[in-house]
Amino acid sequence: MDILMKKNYLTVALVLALITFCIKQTFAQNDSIPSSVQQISLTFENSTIKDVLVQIEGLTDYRFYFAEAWLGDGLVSGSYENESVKTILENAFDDTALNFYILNDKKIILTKNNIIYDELPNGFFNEDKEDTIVEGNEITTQVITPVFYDLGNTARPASLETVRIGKADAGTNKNRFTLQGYVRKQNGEPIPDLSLLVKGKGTGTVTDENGYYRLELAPGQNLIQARAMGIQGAEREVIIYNDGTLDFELSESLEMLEEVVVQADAARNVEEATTGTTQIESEESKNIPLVLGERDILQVAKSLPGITSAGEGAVGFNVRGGKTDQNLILLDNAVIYNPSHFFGIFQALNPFTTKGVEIFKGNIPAEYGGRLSSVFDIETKDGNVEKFSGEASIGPVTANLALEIPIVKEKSSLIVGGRGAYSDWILRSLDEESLRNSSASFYDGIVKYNHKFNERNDLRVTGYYSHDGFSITSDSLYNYSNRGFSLRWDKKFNDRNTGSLIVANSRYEFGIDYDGESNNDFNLGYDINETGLKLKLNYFLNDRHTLTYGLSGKIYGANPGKISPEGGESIVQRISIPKERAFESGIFVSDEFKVSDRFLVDLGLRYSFYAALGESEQRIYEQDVPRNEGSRIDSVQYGDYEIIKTYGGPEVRVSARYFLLPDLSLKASFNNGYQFIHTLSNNTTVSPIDTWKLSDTNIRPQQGNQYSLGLYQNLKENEYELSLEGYFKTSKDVLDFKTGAQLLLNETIETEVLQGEGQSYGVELLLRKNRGRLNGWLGYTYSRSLIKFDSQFGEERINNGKYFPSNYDKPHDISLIANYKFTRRYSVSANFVYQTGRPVTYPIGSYQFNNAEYVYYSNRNEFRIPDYYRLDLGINIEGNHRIKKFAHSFWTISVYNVLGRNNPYSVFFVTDNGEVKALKSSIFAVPIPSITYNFKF
Amino acid sequence: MAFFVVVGCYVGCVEPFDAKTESFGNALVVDALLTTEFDRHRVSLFRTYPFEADGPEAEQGALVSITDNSGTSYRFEETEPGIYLSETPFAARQGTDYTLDVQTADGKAYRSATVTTPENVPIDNIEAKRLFNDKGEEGVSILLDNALPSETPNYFRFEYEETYKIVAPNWDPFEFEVVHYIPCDTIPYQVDIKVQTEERKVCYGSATSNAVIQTSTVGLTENKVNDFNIRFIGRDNYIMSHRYSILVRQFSQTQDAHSYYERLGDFSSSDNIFSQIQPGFLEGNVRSISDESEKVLGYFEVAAVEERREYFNYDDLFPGEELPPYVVNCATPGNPQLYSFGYHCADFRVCDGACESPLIEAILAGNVVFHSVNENGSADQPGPYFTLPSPCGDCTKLGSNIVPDFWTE
Repeated sequence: MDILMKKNYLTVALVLALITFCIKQTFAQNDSIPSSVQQISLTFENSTIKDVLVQIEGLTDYRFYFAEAWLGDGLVSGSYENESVKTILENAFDDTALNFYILNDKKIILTKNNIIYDELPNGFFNEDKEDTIVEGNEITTQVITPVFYDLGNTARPASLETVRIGKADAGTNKNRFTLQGYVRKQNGEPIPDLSLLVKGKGTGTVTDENGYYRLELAPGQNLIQARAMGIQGAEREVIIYNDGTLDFELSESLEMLEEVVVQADAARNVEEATTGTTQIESEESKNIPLVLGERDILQVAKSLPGITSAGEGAVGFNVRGGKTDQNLILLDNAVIYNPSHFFGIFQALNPFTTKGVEIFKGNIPAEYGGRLSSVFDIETKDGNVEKFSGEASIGPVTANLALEIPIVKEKSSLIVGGRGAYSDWILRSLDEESLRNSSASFYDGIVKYNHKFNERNDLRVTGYYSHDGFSITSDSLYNYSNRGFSLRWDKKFNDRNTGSLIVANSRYEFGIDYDGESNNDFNLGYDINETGLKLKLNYFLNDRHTLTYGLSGKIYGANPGKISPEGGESIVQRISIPKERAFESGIFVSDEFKVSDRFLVDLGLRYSFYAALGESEQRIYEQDVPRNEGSRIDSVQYGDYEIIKTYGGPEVRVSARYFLLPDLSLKASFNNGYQFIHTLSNNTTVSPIDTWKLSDTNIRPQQGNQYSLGLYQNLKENEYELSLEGYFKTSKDVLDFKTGAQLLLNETIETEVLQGEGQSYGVELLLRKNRGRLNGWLGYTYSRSLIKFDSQFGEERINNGKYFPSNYDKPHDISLIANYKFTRRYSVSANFVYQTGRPVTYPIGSYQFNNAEYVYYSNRNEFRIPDYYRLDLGINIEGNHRIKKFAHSFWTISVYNVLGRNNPYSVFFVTDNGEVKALKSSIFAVPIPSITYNFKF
Repeated sequence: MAFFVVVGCYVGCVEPFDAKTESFGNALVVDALLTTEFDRHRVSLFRTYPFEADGPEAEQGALVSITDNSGTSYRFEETEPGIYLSETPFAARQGTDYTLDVQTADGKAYRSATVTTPENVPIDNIEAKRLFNDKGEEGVSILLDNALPSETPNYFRFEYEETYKIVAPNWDPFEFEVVHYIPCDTIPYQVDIKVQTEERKVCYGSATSNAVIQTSTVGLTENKVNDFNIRFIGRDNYIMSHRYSILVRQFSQTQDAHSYYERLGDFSSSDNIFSQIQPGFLEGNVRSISDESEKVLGYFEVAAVEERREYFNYDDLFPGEELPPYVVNCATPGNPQLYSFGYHCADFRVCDGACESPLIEAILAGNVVFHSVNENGSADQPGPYFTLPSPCGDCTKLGSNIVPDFWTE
């Protein structure tokens, strides 16, 4: 039944409330209703309630009093033999919001929602007046929580809609009712992450990805505010009588888009139990000035506390002092191994089709496993199921087009996005002699299909591909690509049980084509492929427990390297490092347990299991001697899919939130995890030709623990968010390599690997202003990231086996993102970053050898490059908002690195013509202006 | 890979900076090479030095010896500071193991790992070929081929010594002669010209390799080195303008030595500006016996050596084509004045102004050579002679005027 009511009902309801009162006054003195109530026999089949009432009137002396509009179009059926009118009416009104009151003079007054109480609550007149109580047979007297609608005491806008929910049930003595429902756009698209706040009560919730919400309300009058980015805010006055449903249909708001840059849900900061989560919406990141005008949520992520990278040209993220391989990056549930283009300068995600990213850097939910530091859950938009629409942009580096194509109206839609770089533009603009002969280009494409079969079944299918090609010298061409595919089926079994089934496949590969003068031309290739299945179920057990449970499994296949001759003359020998296979799985259960109104605990448990599988040859090395070719004593051959070695263990994911004040909460969490695949990189920063290695007999999985504790406060109705979070992490068996190790095409990689310990800790402070002309955030992080590689053998020790700072240890990190809106159309934004310079290995002298000069390196990372800072400015101009206009346009004019700061990216020493030269590199050393034109249609 | 820095630094750039030694680490550097050539072999012992220093300090007064597996010991003597030569000439024998021992004057002892002489591989061919290199630049590559007698892969390191004929493009039979150069004298300054007496037209320049050049046959189907680029000479390099000769020395290395040189090269070069190989202490095969934690740099290499010389003429590869530009610009003659504008005398032979003669100073410094006489001096060009930068007329500024012994035309 549609409970969304039109405004003119309001007056009826008010009148009724008055009548109710009058009745109480009028009949309060009357004798009680005779206990013998007239019994009748009656049969009706698919009749309207009005018909039933007419029939009853025909059979009895009862006369009904009601407003016809209340009755609705619902059909009822029933067959009664000598049943009381009361029972018949109770049954007939079961599915409606109707209540009734039988007066002793054969009048039956129907009410909507309200119960006509025959007893005022205790203390209503400050004293019991038992003599005035009307004793009603129909209605029991244990009324504790009547809903009295306080007329006139609430100031509210004239336009405010009032909604009545549920039918008062005198039997209930609950002091909380559950309101649930869906929030959708006019086109039927669900609105996830919309916050619903109960004004003045300090409670609220957030819609899930299907737009579903669930809210606990105090009986009676509640003012509910709905807010989300890009959505026209709404308020509803809800008078709740019992558990019920309320769906919202909201419209998109263009005005809001300009306003807030990045929006986590209003109350989420303080409400949820999980520590260290961040959300970034792609659309909202568009105002943030970034290099060459490319919208990039992953770059925006780096401006939030706890997420950094080694530098401007470094691929990957270091989350809370973790290595770059410790992040699980999911695009619609498919793993993306390298979500960036061109050495990490651009994201490999289409900003138009990407809805946003949710980052878990603290407590990682139990459903995710296999990576120690974080989960980046990137989601693609659902296509518009109503009308064809699109978005396009032209910027200095790329052109981009995304289309939303409805397939079956209101049911399914296809979203297609394609983006490409104007070939070679970037490198040609790099004023660097060594890159003069270089070229670089990239593209990415995505297709997503969503189909809503019915209210209970949704299907989403995504396909993704990205490709990069670049050459530094004219004879070698490097390329890498990501492929992702996923299928997700969401099913709602009933009000309490929902589930998702996910199938995903991903592949990452890179290759080098070498075509030189000599006869050693070759093709070199690497690829890793994974296919996984995941079943996740949710069970809303009751108001206090929400369970999530399920299992997942994936199969890895990696070709660690192969080289083959190119062309007929090449004498390069074909080498192929044998394929590696593994199975990784997890079983998980978590319970969001609401211990009390103030105390929420999320208890998660996961068991991860990993098996390295054949076919493979595993080398056995002598114990207690340095591992090298010489200490190899045996090797064991394993057959196809034979289990070589298993690893695994329980993982705890616990977090808790306690409200110290209604808008101030304290959270704590602990989690641990296993990681079974590792990147092999002997570079100081990540390079696109780093390979991933699966754990085997000689390489153990990495393990990590994280403890975090934080304080969260929202001020001024969530306009300001303040959070302070500290963490301490330990890890073991993180990988590093012997100095100068050769990793590519190395069959016995374990002789080069060192596995050591990591330790990181930090404090993250974030102040965020979510609304108003000026909005944005200011973040400060103090953090350290240390690693240690100790061994009884000198060749397996780094820095004498003591803790030393990792390549991405940047203790102080300040970032400010601010957006100021002058008018609906014009806004300016600024982005400021300051970071301590990263550690580098710096020589402690030079020496002569073999007729040339070289530098003498000793301990790793003992020095730091100068501090990094940068200011970017942007002006955003929205086209006008005339509805009839064909396209809505948006201009961004930005200048990256306005101060022209020549931030060193790295320092290094080369021996050129026998002499040492100290060199310093930087990526963007001058202000980079750009202009981008976007339009939506 | 070398980086050349352009003026200003824009996007993705590399620029030199003045590195300071933040904390200096003093260590012994051993540079020892024993080859299959019958020679007085050399062991250099120096110390590391800070960036601010001019060069290394020698490790003097050390006891140096090489011992083979039959117990024969070859003693070394210090012939100049830090340079130790074997007392007698000898050659490393195939299949024999050698160990280097060093005892420094302060009593610390160092010993190398035992190194076996690698297999000797003859050079098949050396060829000069005109081509475009991997950066797309035109030039001449010196390419080497060899064929391995056995199936086991071999490792090679190369050094070269190049010698090239230089012909001074503006050589003139006359040279300057400074006749009188006493300021405020009764006689004015005087510069004459006279007939040259020394060979200054044709010389021979030379240079040796100073980068690590190496290759191996690992990963090749045929156990041979084919068209390996030893040296690339850019199209614009004047050294190949006439006749060019290169002596290539091929060192067959052990795998360990090869890997050492490879890491040495990796740590001292940069392939792209986005990522660098993680550098660190480069451990060689010499260690301290007295103190295990003491860091020792350098390497004791035993190598089988082959060498071969190759010549080519510019006309062979670039027939009828214009010569590469000369090393200096000889197109515009200068006209230094005999007296500078500030010339002023206070008294006899007492100058109280700028009395240095620009022309004579340039001649004495060897910076200019005679080009022609300024027949009709003008206000613009008052100097008595036109001059050119000295390499234009004097090849000894770039090389030696003595024909090398090996040189054949």
